[in-house]
Amino acid sequence: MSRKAEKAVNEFNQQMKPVSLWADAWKRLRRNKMALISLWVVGFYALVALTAPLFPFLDYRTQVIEHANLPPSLQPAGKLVIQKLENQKKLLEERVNDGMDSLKPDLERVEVDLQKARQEVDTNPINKKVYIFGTDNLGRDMLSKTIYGARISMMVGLIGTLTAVFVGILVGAISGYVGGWLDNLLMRFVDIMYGLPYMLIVIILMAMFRREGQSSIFILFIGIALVSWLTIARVVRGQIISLKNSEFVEAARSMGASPGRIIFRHLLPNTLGVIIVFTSLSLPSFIMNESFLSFLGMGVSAPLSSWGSLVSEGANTMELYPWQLLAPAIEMTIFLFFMNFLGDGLRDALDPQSKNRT
Amino acid sequence: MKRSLFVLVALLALAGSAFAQDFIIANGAEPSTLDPALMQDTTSNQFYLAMFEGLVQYDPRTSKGIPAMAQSWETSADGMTVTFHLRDAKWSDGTPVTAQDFVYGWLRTLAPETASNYAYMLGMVVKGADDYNAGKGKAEDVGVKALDSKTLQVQLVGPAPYFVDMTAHSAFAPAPKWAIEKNGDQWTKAGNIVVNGPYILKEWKPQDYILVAKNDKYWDAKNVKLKSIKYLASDNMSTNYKMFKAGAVDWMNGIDVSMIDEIKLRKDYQASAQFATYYINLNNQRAPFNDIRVRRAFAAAIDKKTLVDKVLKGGQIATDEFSPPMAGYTPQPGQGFDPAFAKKLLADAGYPDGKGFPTLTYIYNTNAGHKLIAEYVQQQLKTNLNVDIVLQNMEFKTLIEMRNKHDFTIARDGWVGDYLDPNTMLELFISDSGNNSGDHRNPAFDKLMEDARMAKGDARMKMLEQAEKILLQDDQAIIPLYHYANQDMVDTSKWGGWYANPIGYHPPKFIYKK
Repeated sequence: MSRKAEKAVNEFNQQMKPVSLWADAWKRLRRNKMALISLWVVGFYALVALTAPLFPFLDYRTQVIEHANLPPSLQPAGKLVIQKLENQKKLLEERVNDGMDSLKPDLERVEVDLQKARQEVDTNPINKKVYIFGTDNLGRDMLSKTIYGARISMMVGLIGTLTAVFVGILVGAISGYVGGWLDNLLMRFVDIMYGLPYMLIVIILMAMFRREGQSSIFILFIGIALVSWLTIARVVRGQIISLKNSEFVEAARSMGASPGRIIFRHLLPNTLGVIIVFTSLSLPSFIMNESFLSFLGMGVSAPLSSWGSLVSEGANTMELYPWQLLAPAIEMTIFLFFMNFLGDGLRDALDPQSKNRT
Repeated sequence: MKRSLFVLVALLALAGSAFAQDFIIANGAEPSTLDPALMQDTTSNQFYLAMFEGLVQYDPRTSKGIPAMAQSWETSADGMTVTFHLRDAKWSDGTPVTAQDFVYGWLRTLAPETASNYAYMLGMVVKGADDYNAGKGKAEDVGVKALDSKTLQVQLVGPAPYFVDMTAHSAFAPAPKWAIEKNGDQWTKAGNIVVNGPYILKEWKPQDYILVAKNDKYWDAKNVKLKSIKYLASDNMSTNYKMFKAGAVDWMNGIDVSMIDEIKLRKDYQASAQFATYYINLNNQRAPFNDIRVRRAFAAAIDKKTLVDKVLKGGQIATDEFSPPMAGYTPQPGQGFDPAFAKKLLADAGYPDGKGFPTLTYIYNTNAGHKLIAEYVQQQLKTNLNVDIVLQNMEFKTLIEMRNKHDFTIARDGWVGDYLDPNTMLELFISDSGNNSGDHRNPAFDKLMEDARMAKGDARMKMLEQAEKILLQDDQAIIPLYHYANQDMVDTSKWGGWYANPIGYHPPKFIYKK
């Protein structure tokens, strides 16, 4: 009997080990090269952002005024300062020879600075510093600034996403499963919240709740949390409604399962694909939203910065000091790019329709 | 044929745009008002210079008063009475400008219900004005009288030598009574407004631009060269600078600080010393700044010289004093940079190494330059006092409002003298001055300022020096950072009539294309 069975192998007579949803999705995600690379990149960003405070050389606050506006380089700062001052001196000399006498005091000052820089290039330990992403207008390290900026931006994305998932799923599932007047009430509330522009909510919150000595970042978080869950609540509600009369739910109900169990054990797992896809795609949009607010000057304030505020500052000086724009912009673009790929891969991996595809 | 038509159209379009406005000014921010009695900031003041004219106006070279609505004036022997003789001038609706218009305008600035922040300026010099403004006196008792429609007599509280120069200021503007009574606070809207200056308001697009056109009824219209002027409300200096470079802006007041290394090398960059001071306003009545030791500690913790020489690099002068030095007046500097002393003071005040010190908010108006200074100050306080402050930017109008209401703890501030005398700087800090944002209150200071009004010459200057000593050495009511430099972008080889001057007001009347 057993021997016979071994001989005729087909898909109906095998002992199948049950595969969980997660294991199955993971297996398929691993097969998607682009998604896997994305996972590594995003993981790397998260790791760097999380561990940044452990590295004392990543200092986003300290201003070394002498090192202002240095370009990205692998050379020590002292040498770059000398180069910069020599350039300035040359330009100033040209103009002074042209008859612009008003620049003479500037020329003298540059000469004094140059002399001092030459003396200190080897003696002052601060001149040994290497700024691979350059520095900003107050001599702060752009690398540290972009890493700490990533912390804020990713935190914004994470907070938005987490509230979206928890509140959105809860409201959507209850609304969809219970239906009737409760559904009506909850969904009208969502409608009202939809009607308020996101920017306006944040601005109003800032005006109402900002207190002495409080950074605006918390209000920003609250503003984002307030509006983040609306879409997902709608999506989950629709899914639940379309599933709640299907046979497996009726089976569960006839066996006496409680509504809670039905929602969380039977209905939600079936909507998980949609939720995860939505979540992974909305995370970048939260980051973009925060960037936009920061760009308008309503997001984080110094010394903290986010990708958005860094880009906004960099845009002002892009002609003279392009790296102040490019460093955060490239870092942010790469992250958002891979985040979108990851979302795409997750959708493929979790889509129930593609479950049995090889 | 088709092609020539196209060329013609293109030419017409070019010509059209060239005639649309002669001169474009990047004015830095949206003006808070166009009503001379309420004007308080330099952005609004630009429109006073364009649209209104007082008894005298600012000389574009020296900033001193030169005849305007007043053709001539004489001062009595004791210096207490000044009589102005008005010229034949007309308002933009054809009504003649009379001495009564000045009486009405001045009383309007003073009227308590107008709530002008500059009322104290009249109060300082004109007899009975202070009492009327405080609600203690009657309008009839204010020492400004129209002897006839062309003669205005002013009784002063003391022999203020700067009085005639002072009347160039917007607080001393004449006002068209009939227009104000007809339209109320809407009288400055385009179409309603009645002006006596070289230009009249044509269009105001909030947060975008204000367009003024030449006023043909102006007494000196034949010498007004520019047909129209556009004032852009952009507070983004980087955008303004790019527009200037592209030729879309003719005069830009202020510069893009981050580009100073490049800007400095340009021939159309104009820098000169200005009779003005950039300072940090502390709310003297609010904890923790109600403690002199904390105020002094903050003043000692900021390295102003590095800020000016290494960060701003625009010809400003780092300072611990408030009134810039001038002939006969020696400024009295307050606490200078001394980080060790700062730490000690803060410890004495109960916050050793910044422990227990509350996190405070520093407010400033949105502008890359102010932001740079705010971040620098923030880090100086962190390094030298271990104190954290939070920065908050806002629209200029909002900042002014919050400062006027004393609704702040630390605020960025700057003051440009209204006439060339230390008095215009120091009078800000008189207890009931409308511009006393930091709420500095010291009777000894008030007394000295009042006595100085009655005094003359050297004795007066000594009193003012004494007053500044109280303000900065005894009270450290504010933290001065530097004396401004006028920083403007304007090509003087193309535009005439624009001169560097100490106050930095450039009446558009004199500007012409070379």
